[in-house]
Amino acid sequence: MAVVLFALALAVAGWSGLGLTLLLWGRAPRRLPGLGELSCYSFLLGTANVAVTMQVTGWVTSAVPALTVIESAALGAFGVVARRATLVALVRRRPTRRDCWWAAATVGSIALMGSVVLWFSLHTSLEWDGLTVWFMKAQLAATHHGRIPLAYYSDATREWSAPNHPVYLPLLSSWIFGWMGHTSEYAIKALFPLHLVASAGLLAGTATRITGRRALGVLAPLLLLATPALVHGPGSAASGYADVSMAAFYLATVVAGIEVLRNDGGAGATHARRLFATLGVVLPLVKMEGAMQYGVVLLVVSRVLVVRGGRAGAARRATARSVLLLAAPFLVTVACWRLLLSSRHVAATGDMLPVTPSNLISQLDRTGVLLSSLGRELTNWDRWSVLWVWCAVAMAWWLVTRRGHQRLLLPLLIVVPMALDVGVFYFSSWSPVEAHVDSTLFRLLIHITPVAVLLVVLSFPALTARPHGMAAAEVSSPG
Amino acid sequence: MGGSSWVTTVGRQRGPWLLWVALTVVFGGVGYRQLVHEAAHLPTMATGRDATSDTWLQVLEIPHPAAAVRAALADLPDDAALVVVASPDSVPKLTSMVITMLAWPHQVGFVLCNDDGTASPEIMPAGHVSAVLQYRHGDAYEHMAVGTTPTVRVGDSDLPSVGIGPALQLIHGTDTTAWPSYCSL
Repeated sequence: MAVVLFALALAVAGWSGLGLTLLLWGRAPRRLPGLGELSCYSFLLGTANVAVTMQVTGWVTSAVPALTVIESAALGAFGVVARRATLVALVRRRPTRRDCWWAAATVGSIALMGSVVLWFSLHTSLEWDGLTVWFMKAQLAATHHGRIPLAYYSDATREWSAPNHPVYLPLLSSWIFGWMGHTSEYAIKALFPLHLVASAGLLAGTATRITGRRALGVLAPLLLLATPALVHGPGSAASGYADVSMAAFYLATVVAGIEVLRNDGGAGATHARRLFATLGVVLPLVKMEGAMQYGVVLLVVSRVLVVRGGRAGAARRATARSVLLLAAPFLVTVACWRLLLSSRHVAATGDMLPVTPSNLISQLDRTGVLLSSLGRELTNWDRWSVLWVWCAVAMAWWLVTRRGHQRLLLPLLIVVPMALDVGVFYFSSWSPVEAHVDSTLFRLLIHITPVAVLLVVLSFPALTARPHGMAAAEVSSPG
Repeated sequence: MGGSSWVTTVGRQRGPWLLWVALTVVFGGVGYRQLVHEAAHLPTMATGRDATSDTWLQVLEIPHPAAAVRAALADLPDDAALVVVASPDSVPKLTSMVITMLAWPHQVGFVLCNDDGTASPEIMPAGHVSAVLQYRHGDAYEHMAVGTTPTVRVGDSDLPSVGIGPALQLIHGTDTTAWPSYCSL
């Protein structure tokens, strides 16, 4: 029974995500992704919708679960009714027998990956942060009508549980516990592999759609599975940490950013921007690093839009409007979250020094240590296999074989977050800093791992000289 | 907009293709081998709603320790703060965190008692301490059946206590109890 209720909780969340995704995709997108990507976005945006709704309704009422059910059902129904033409166009696609075989192979590879990760997850305990940071908040919310009690934020004896961490996972978990009727440290472990499955689905769909080579869609999930850091150990999908969830949302943001650039000036431009901007609301609520990750993608995508937009007055104003649309929801979310923490007098954890120029200058002598730690981590075969070596080779090949603004986009979206992940340790209060780096850096790298796999897959050289267009895997506008 | 720039501008690529295939094989080989190795060494773990908490409370040496701790603390008033007392090397840090997690809504302090009897308070609650959870490695409280209430001398008072398994004892104080030293209980 608990399994059914667990699934029902996610089905309701997914229904709201389906409605939201269809609304964001719009009535007549030029290039419509397939049902696989629709499912992944529905899961990610639906679970995010549940968490955001619980957070917002929790400010004004104690009937949080009931209101969230109503909002989710209504959002799903509205989206499906308002965009039924889009949905019908997707469902009525007439795939060839060959398409069906490829789709079955892709689903099979995702299912294999998901099954192995779920097996690991159910055979290991929640790790340290999984229990004390994320599950603890979820349990509190589940036993307080979907709201984390205010007393928690002012409890000095629970400061070690990082009250300043965002609420996506705790509120989503408490939503599931609400449906199940009780909390469960065992059942909740099934939630995290689903984020990895969503990553795999997005990777497969994006790789196939962009390159037109369906074998890459089959390969991508198997590459995720071959990365041990994602499957087992702290930070993995089996650990109950937020890192795999963060990775899924970062990948979704990168893919949305790609769509913004691919659709720029086209019929789907506005809808691509709306999807991207919506993810700007979600990322800061998944993990503290989410604000940084979205900021990086926002800056890179905005830079391309500005360069492309030209210097003419009208074009410049249009570009400014676009960038503002992409940035505004993100900035409002970050500001609201900071206001909330400050109103609850939540102190930052003692692990980090204030980010000031003087602190940076005083810690510059850590550069050698940080670089050597990064090098050691990237060549830790037990954790990453040869992913980062392959990623470096793929990056070089990508730079040689691609043209235009896209040439730098994906490499920057890997290298810049990686540099920031390392740079953040200039502000570590740990001394010596190595212990902090060794216990944390690999988890930060998990956030960018699916994007690294995307680069590896997209740069996979073609054996034949036939051109690989994108239209093969895309459907025409239903409008 | 030029979607075609997302795909390669180079035509036939047999050499790079072979390199990518080789890297795929190496990547999969190293990664899957590691997973098989890790799968073979996974410990047997508990299932159920307290699966992880029970794992970290195994030092209490009782079945379903999370439920036992929760039940023992259930009668304390919500605003009662408590302190967990242990020796530095007897209780992993995560164990005290799990107890704190289970003890909501009580504030929970944590005091480590050194071999020479001195105390190292790690965390102390803001309010008055109404109860103490004392952990002693081994079977110090084996004689205390759960539910019995032998008294413990604290200052001038005899306070009731409850055994929660052979290694953990809950000492109930009052609103006025002064705890002269947590390490001499």
